[in-house]
Amino acid sequence: MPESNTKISRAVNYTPKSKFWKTIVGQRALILMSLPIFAYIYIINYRPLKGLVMAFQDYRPGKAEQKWVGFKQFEILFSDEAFLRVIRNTLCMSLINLIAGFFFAILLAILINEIKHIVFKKVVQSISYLPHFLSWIIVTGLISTFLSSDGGLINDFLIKLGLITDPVHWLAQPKMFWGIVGAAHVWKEMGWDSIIYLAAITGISPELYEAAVIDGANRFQRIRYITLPGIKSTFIVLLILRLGWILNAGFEVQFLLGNGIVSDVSQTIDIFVLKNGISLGNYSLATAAGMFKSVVSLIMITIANYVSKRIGEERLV
Amino acid sequence: MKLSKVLVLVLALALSFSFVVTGCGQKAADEPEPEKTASKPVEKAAEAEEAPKLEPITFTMFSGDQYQAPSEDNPVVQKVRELTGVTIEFEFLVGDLAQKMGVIIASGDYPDLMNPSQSRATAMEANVFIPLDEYIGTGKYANIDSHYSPYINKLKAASGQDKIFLLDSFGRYYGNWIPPYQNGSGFFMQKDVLADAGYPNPKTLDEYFSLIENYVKKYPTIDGQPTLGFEVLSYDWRSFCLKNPAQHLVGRPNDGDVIVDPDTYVASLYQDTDFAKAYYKKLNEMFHKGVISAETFTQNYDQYLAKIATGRVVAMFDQYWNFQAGELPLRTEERWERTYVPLDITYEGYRGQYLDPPTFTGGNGMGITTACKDPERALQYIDMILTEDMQKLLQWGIEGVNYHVGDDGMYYRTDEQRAQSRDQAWIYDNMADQLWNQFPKFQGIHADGNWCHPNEQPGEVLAEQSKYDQDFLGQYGFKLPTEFLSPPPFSESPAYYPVWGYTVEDGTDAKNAINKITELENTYLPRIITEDADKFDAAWDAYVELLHGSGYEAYLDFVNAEISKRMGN
Repeated sequence: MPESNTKISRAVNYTPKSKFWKTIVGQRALILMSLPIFAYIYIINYRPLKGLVMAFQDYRPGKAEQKWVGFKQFEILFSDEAFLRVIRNTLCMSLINLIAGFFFAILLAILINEIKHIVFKKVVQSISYLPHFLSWIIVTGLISTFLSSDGGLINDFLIKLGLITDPVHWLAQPKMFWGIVGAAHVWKEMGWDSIIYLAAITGISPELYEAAVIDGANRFQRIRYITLPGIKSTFIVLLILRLGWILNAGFEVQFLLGNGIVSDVSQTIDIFVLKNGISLGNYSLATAAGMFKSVVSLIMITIANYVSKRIGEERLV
Repeated sequence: MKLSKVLVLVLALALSFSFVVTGCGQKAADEPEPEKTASKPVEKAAEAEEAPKLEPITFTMFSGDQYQAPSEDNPVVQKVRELTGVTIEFEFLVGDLAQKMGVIIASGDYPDLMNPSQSRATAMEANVFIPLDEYIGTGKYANIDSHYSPYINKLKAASGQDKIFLLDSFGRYYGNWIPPYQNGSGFFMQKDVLADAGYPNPKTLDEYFSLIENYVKKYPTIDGQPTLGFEVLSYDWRSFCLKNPAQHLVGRPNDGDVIVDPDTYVASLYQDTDFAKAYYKKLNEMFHKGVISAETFTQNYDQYLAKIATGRVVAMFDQYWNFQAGELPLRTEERWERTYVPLDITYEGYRGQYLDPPTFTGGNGMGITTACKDPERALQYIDMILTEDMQKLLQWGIEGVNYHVGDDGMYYRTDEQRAQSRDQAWIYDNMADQLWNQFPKFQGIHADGNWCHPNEQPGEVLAEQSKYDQDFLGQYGFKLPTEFLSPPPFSESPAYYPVWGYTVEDGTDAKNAINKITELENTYLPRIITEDADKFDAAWDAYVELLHGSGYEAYLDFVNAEISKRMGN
């Protein structure tokens, strides 16, 4: 095979086509290696796409012929108060996670960067990203134990300090729920997210800092005028990535920490899809909701990409 | 160098492909096997028409329950296989039932037999099962016929298509059966609360809660941990612990989301009634007195069981099977004073109906799927196990090994055999526990006076009682804990009962309505109970308004139509 190809390319010198085959042959190892990935993406990501037709049917499992209903499922969806509520919850929790997540990750990265003691720095860094490797089921277990009004750590602590007299039922307070979820995300992902910023900070030329020191800049000024601008492009790229996921506020946390009392504020689109699709057998409605989510994500990521190009920063696509 | 690397990669890929291919190849070689065995009985059938076919055959069975299959070398299971020629290969549910059922249906890869459990509506709508009407009542399966003959209407009504798809595994009682222990609903209370108060027998809600209140005041901690007065599990579908009490307080049995008028058989909602309001008002009062903790509304099922297992939960409304797993550790630790008795709590002037007379649900059992390799053989198997001898083998075990026969013909177990029957691991290895549980069975009392299940045999029940329990019940002049409850008012439940067993098909108006009602109740009732006392009425009114605007009528219409179907109108 390779031999015959080279013959052809020799015969028709330097046409675009021969260049193409030359590249193919030259990169055959890479292409072979990426084949399993293509197979994976095809099977896991593309094949299920045909299931999206369910959103335009009254889908009942086990039936050979399905009834087509056009946009009926979407009409039901957007006239359903419960769905509008889950969109609100999803957006709000997502924004809280986004803002708090970025803020604390960058803050941690800068703080760690300023530590001069190497061993201490490494230890802090390792400990801070360990929670990333815990699954949400464990984290939510920890959270509900900490927040318990029946001998929970937080309540005991606040009572000992004399700030409150009776234990607070944290998880039964609708006003607290988004905050608890946001704090949980920050605790779990802060260390992990800061790694990439630390890497970006390391990439900043030390000469800049040296020059700044000579100019008499203090630590805060160095952070403000060198470190922060230095990680700006990383920040923009990550922001674009995250905006595409704006309707993914998470599923496990809200599902596992939610309960009847806070259900108005705790349910996200994913929980709505699960409840309708799996528990209630409304597959079509669930598909419509999921499809809506994907379309919004696609639009968001396109806009973010465009805006980023306008302001002259890096682009993803 | 470069070429050899590519070669290695290609080889590795080829190797992994060959794994996949051989993997498939093995499966393909396996597949014709069941077909071969399946065709055997059909061939032989032509030769010998009359004698039951006993050639070995294996049926696969999926069960929507989460249990464990009996072990392979289990002596009782082997004996059943010898007698019938049938091997049942169980697959029990792991994970989420609705999800698993969706996968089974979407793939079309059915087992031979299936117990769809709570997913029966989905399974029946997708026509997973073959209708059994043409087999039943023909006299070909005499035992099945006589077992189900009084309940044919209920079997048909359960499908929603006027066909018999599922053969109920439970609820067919023989003899004059009275439950020796309460497996169902009740206001349960720790025995120590009653003992501490001088053995009263509370009958009203106020008496019940004042006992709890006094006990919590007297003992603020149990084993160093705060005492929990009254638990209200409101997690997921188990929120019946929150909602069901109201109907029982006015002397009705458990009909789930509706209350059925005993004279006219018309169903209505009751979560909007004054008697329901009075109950939640009481809970609200208890919440503010600290008898009920807000924690109880945010906990999940496992946390609830864990609390009960610590022995510091004084009382709760529940069904025994639902919290049994939490009470078990208390029993094994022999902390009998921390175990529970059901009480006959109602409003003043009502008679409690917590004990159900024998009740046949309809639709709560196993069916034969369209993929079954030999439906007639499967029915023959069920027919064969529906005999007294086979039932004794399945429930009591092997005579001389698992039980003995007394001089009076009554069966009994030795202490060693009793201890074995409490050990779940031992049961898996030695008893046909799940063969009995998953398939149609006799319940109640056999013609010879022995009870179908050893755990209900009066001699066994008394022998299993601890010294503490005997003394405790003796204080009341009782022998069994069920004597706290009023005996069932009829010898058999009315044909419509129970409404919670009705199959509501997915995607119907009735289903949407009941979902909406349930969601409203699960969301608002905990809020109302934890509301400030002076805002209680306003919160209640807001909730009732939402409930009335929820379109609940669709569900009531469905229920009333089903009731009249079952009542034979």
